[in-house]
Amino acid sequence: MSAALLVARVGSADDLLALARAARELGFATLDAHAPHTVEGLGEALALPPSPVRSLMLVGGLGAAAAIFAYQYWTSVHGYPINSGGRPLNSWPAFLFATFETGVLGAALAGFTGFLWSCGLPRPSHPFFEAAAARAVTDDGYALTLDPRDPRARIDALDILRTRPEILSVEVIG
Amino acid sequence: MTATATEFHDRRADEARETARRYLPTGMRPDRITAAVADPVLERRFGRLWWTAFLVSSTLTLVMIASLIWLVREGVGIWGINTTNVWGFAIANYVWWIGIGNAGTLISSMLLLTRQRWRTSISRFAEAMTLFAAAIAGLFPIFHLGRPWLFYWLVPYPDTMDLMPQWRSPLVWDFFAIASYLIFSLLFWYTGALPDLATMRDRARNGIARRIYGAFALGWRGSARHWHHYEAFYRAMAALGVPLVVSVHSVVGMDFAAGLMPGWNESIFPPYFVVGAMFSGFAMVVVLAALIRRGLGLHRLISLDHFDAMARILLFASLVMSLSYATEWFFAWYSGDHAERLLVRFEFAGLYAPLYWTMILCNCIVPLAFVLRAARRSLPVLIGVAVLINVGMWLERILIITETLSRGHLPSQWRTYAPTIWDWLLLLGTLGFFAWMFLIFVRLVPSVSMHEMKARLREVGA
Amino acid sequence: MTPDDAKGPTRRETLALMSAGAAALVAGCKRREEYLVPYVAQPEGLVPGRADFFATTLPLGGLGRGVVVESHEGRPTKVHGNPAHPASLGATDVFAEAAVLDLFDPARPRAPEREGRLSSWLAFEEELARTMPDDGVGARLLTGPVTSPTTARQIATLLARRPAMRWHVMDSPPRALETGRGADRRGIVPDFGRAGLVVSLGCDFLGAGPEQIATARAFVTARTPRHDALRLTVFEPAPTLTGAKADRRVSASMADLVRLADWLDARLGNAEPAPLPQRLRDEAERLAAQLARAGTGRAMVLAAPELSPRATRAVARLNARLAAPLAYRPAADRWPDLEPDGLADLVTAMRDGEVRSLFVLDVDPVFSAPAAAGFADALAGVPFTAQASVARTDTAVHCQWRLPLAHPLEDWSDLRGPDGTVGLVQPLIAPLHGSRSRHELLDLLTNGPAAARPARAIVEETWRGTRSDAAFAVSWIAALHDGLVPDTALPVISAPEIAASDDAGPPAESEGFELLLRPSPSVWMGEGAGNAWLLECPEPVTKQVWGNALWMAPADVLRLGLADGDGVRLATPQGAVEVPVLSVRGQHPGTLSLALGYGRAEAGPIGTGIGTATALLLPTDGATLIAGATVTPLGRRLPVHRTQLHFEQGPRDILRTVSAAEPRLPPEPETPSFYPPWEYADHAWAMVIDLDRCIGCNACTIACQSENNVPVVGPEEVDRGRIMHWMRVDTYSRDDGAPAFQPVPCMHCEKAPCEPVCPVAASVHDGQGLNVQVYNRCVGTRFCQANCPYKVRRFNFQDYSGAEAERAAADGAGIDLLAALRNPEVSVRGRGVMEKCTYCVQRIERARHEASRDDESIPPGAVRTACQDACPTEAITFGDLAAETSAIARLRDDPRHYALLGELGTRPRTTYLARIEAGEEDGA
Repeated sequence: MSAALLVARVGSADDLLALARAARELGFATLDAHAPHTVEGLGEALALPPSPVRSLMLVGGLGAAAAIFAYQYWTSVHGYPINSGGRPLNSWPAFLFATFETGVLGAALAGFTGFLWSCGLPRPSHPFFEAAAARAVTDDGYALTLDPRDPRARIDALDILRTRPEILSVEVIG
Repeated sequence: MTATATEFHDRRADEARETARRYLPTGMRPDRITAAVADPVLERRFGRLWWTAFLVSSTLTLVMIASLIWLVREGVGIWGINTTNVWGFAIANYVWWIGIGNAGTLISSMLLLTRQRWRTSISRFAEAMTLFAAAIAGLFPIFHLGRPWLFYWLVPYPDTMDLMPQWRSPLVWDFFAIASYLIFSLLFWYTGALPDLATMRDRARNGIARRIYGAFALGWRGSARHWHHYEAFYRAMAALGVPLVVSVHSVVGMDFAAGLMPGWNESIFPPYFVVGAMFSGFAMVVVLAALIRRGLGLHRLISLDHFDAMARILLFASLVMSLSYATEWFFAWYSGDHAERLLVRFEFAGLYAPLYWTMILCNCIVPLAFVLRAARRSLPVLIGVAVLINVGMWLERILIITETLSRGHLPSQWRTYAPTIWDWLLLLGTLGFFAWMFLIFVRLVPSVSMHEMKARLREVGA
Repeated sequence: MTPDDAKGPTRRETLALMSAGAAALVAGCKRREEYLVPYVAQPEGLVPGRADFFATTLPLGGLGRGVVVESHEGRPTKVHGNPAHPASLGATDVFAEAAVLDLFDPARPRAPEREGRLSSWLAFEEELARTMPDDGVGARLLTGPVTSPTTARQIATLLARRPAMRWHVMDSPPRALETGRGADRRGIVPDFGRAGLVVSLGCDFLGAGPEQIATARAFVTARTPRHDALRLTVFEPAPTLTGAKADRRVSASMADLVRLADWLDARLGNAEPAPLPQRLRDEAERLAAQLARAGTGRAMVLAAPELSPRATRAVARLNARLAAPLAYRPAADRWPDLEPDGLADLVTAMRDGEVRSLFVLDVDPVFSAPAAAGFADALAGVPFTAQASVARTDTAVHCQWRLPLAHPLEDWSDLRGPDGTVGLVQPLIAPLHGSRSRHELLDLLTNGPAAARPARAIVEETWRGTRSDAAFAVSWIAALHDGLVPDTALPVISAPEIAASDDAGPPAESEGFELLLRPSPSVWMGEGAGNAWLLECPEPVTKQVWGNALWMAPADVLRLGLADGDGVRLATPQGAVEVPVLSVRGQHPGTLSLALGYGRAEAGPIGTGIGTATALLLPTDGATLIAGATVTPLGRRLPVHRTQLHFEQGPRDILRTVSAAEPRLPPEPETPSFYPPWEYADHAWAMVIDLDRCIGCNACTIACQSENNVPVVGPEEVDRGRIMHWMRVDTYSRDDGAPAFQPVPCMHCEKAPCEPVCPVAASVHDGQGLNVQVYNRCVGTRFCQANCPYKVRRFNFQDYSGAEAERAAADGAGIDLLAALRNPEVSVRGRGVMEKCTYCVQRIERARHEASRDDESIPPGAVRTACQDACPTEAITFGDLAAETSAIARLRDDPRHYALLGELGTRPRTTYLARIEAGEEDGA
């Protein structure tokens, strides 16, 4: 297995936060944390870059809205101009309904694909799943993962184990 | 300055603790939550009650399918509609179902954005309810068509004649609204359920179940990165959901308000429809919450305080509805328009007056019981009132359609509407189908959001 | 066929199959000639795709009305009026319009039947030769009133050839403009142009009948320049079309009318009038004053033909005293040297066993003769009986031989109109079935099979006279072209002798109700009882279709504890029937009205058993005014199908009226619009309907149905409220109980509410301002109709037109009979599609094609819609607003002009001219 992980399981979200901060201070570059729910501050603790999802949604939403409005305008005014109840060809207020709904839909679709893409999902197999802690993580387990190929990891991990009482167990995968 | 800020924070913290005490199962460890929610799905045997309900709802689902087949075969002429009342049950059912379908997203989005923590217990199944109700609602506009197999002409697709939908039609707005709303709700619901599906994957002992949950969980690992993007996406969706849900029912209101028939051409319709949707949707949530709480034994997760909160919302919505009705009557009188005034007189004293009075009773009078704390906390009362509200809201929808159409501008064309057996069977069948989908849902998907519950509990430090 | 067999398919099935059921028949697109012309060599003058028009004549109540029939590739599809014919003047009525449906009726008998078994003309001829003695002893011929000179000539020849043979005529009920009985019977010819005041004592001269078109046109024309030029005061027991046009309408029983006639006669004759009941006194005084004010030679009194001879004479004296502008004409069915016997004589002879053979020609005595006369029973004793008719009849079942007669559109003949003008009947199509002409049948009776000649020769012989072949050929072709023989109108004759005042006193107040029976405005005397268009043609006052009902005054209905649709047992001294009741405003308390012509036992799968038959109620003499009728509630409901249920317009301005003194509406500013005005390409079509000219006769409705392939839905669908007529006539009650009529086609709104709501652009506006419905594009959301304030759109809830069945049948060998009737220029609409009035866009396009051939634009007046064409009173005007000189543009500037529901801002292209009502003083 090419990828490998060092998984340190802790007992609570607070421990996880503390451990993550410590690990980062120790200079671990590629680390990740796992929790059964969102843990406020974990992103900062891991120094995650801001999520691109919302920007994608803004672009997707505005793009879809602009496209559908332009499309309505073109079909009504140029493509197939018909007199419908004496309304002007460019009945733009009436066009806004589809524009809004499509915009929201576009944002949602862009957001969802962006979310999956950012998360690297779907990914049915991942080294983390090999860990004994993986199953606990969706229940009540908290874990910090380090890349064991990091030459420092194996050494520092021992230090951590020694210095951090909150760590319950450590496994090395791969 | 600093002192005030501290006081403020203290007060906030007090409030949070108080809220937590009332609406959250304080003291429940995360693993207990997982067990409480996931185990009924994975472990418990299906009781006799569930099987009976499943059998009944399956039968009704078959009734729905049969009546739809017969409908397509024989045409909409099998219904009670006529040249004057061109719309009947189908459109009323559509509006009613889509109304119910609004509550889930309202609960999820609005309450999430306003940080109403009590939503956590009910949002999952409320959203499922939304999905099912909106899907059923979507059936009606398609099947009520004279030529339902051509419904795709409402979709802008590359047509050889370059013909496009007629963008000025409220039905096209409707189509876009419903389609967007359905897809949106599905994404929102699925995203929210994704971490819980991973929980199910990891907790399932049966290999097949593990594989199926695994496939739907998409490889969720509860990674901090996942949660990071999840939060960004989920909150943005919630923010979009509020205007979307308001727009959806406003557009449904526009189906009528954009016309020029007496009783339809009213600028109050869009907001009035939105509140009506919230009203009937919350009433349905109350009923489902009571059933789920009992059926899955979630007494700690869905507390009487939750019902109390929903009853308050129902009471508020009921008052808004009463005000809307009164506004309609007032403006009919104030407009001086004979057709409008006559319509109001017809509502109160015409052929359908008993139905109209029943509607007022159900929507305006009965919910007033919720001013009493005891009524808000009594499940039988809650369920009774909620069912009556849904009856009342359905009556409101059918009356909006038939009263206006039966008493239009020209007396020569006045005709009344009477549903046929096929109208009733389809309504009944969709109710059965809804129950059927819901029964399957509670057996397959965790009915309460576990991850969110855990997060909330951690937030309040309980 | 036994009555049980006749109940084969249900009515609903038959209506659904109306076009698909006749697969066994190869009816085909035959040319109008009596031989088939294969299109290997295309007939000269026939352009495929272009309609041909032929003049012919259609009968109603025996009298001929000239028509021009539109024919597509040899198929007659549409009846138009014949402008040259005095009984048509270019307009039609419901009966003429519906004649084509009778022609293609799949239920028509197709070959002679003997004792219910299929037989042949040869067998009939053989049996006839065996049975008929040479001198005609014991042989009888029974016909209706004969107005055909050829038939009369043939009967005279027949009676001369077989001197012992006798001819009987079954009388129809008297027509509105008829007076006298038996040999004294003569037609009244009112000259409305010279009159200032018309008083009708129960005379429904604007009602349905062979004279309706001409009379209504003359009446409306007399009022055209100034409404107060001709005032109409009507006393009547039940609301009629005449009462609907009255400046003053007073409800009164027929007995009251007799008293009133007596009183007026005495009053104007300066004698002491017998005192009148209180309720009539003021009205009578007012009327007398009105007559006096009108002046000599300016007023006329028209009496109901049902009034007693005593009252008739009183009215005749009255008219003489007033020097009324009236003329008289001999009845069109009277022939010199040819005196028929009555039906009663025939029945007596049959009972006495004197009749050995009976030939019933085109009448249905078992259905329409008074049951009390006992015709059906007496018939059983006659050894050899034959009935010849176009459709199956009640009488046919009682006869040995049932012979199919040619439909007038397949036949050669000639018919006198109400004024005597002879219209020629020429076949538009070769006989569809094994039927024969009535003239051929008479020829067969006269000369036997060996010497039989074709009908054309027989008719020509009548008119050839002594002329040379060449001279005859020229005049004959001209006559056939025009559809009538010139200068054949009967001369005006003097007024009948007026006896002095009789000794018999005025009628005593009798117990029970007074019952008046008149021919149905939809199915006439039962002739239309198998015709789906006519059965579904709404009765103008009650809007009842598919049946008749007993009209009662609301007070009487209340008194008996009844409601609309409750069944009652209606009894007269002769017999009793069960009939549903309708409460009718304007019906005089104590009087009852019931339409004749319904309840035929043998009217095909569509019409059999529809409504209540009246034969049981009639006294032996066939009088249609019966005193002493009683009404007993049955305690159950009987079907009443109506297309309109609410008749009060309340304070709305729907059917607007103006006073005769100041016939103008207050000017209304154009409703403002958010939207900029739309530019129209070349034409701007519009319609104006003059409510003051409309008499509510329904001709427009049926004309539209025929022109636009509008389907029939049947009584069950009518009850569900799914009538399909594109052109409907709305009825609203007036204060005096009479109805007022408002024809409502599509308004073709410039700001059409139906268009922007359609999600698939099936309802759109075209470049000439038409609101068009694209059937192919329609998916059936019905939003357009939901949003139409006029509710003029029609949805195919079911497969009314049988289009799907037809497609299935197209695989078979048969050619669909009723499909042949359809206008090929108008699409047939399938299930699930919305449809509506198109302003007869096919006619606009035809005119455009014709104009474009000469590189011109459509000249004014070139396009006439079907409803406009049919309208007897020219109430409907259609034209191009863009042509500034057009009549339509002028009418839209009329001070009576208004838009229906104009306040909604729909800017309708169909607009109305308000009805003119006399003020209180004017009406006096």
